[in-house]
Amino acid sequence: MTKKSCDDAITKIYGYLDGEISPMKRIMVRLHLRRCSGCGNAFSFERRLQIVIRERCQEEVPESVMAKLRAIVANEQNT
Amino acid sequence: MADQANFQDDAMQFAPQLYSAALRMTRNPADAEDVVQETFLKAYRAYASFEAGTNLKAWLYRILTNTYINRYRKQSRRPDEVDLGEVEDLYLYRKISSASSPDSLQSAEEAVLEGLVDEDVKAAVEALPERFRMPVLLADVEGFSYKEIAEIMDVPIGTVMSRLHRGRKQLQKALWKFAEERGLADRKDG
Repeated sequence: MTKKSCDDAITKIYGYLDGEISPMKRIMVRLHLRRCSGCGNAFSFERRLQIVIRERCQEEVPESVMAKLRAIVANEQNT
Repeated sequence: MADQANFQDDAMQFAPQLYSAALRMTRNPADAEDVVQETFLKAYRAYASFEAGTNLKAWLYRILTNTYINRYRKQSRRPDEVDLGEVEDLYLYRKISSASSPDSLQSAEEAVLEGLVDEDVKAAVEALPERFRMPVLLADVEGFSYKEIAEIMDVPIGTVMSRLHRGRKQLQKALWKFAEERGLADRKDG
């Protein structure tokens, strides 16, 4: 693949992964990824990284916090 | 118009996510709890002005974000161009590639993605300056669209995109540091 077509694809990587580019650009990127294993691999890595970030930032809410939130709402409803 | 009587049923399901986001914003449980409580109180009182059928999750995050900013604004109103140094695109991927041989790239990628623990990722997100942390959090953890983030943060969509882009690069730089410290990417020998 030419450097230029790779650069073009890389500038669209987040728009592509976030589902925020036009269908036409999406097709262009997908065509490039099919032909260029280097970019295909890089895109796949970014996708997996996004999933890792999302999964590892989740928190358990302490039940005490939930109870307080319910109490706040209940208290408001009774005033 | 939304009915206040339905607030508990409608909004409480978002409490766990709002609490997670508040933790990433405030970086400590006590403050996160305060911010979420204030958010729910404000949301309940304003619920009559929420247009039923529109995006309740985004509406709640907007209140959460404003609550956080109003409480902790002090140090955050710096101009956008504070110099963090330029970070290249695909920072983490490039670092892993250059630390491994072509044959071992795939296993090096896996080692990093599997080896970064929750605490690493949370710390890397929390280390971002606020203006980058918010869009990264809203996009990558909470899954909002650019347009929703623009509405939640009350900034133009172009600003969301540029901050998100720069924030992600900074995040990758921080993640690479953890990967190096843990010796995750060193695959040159096998």
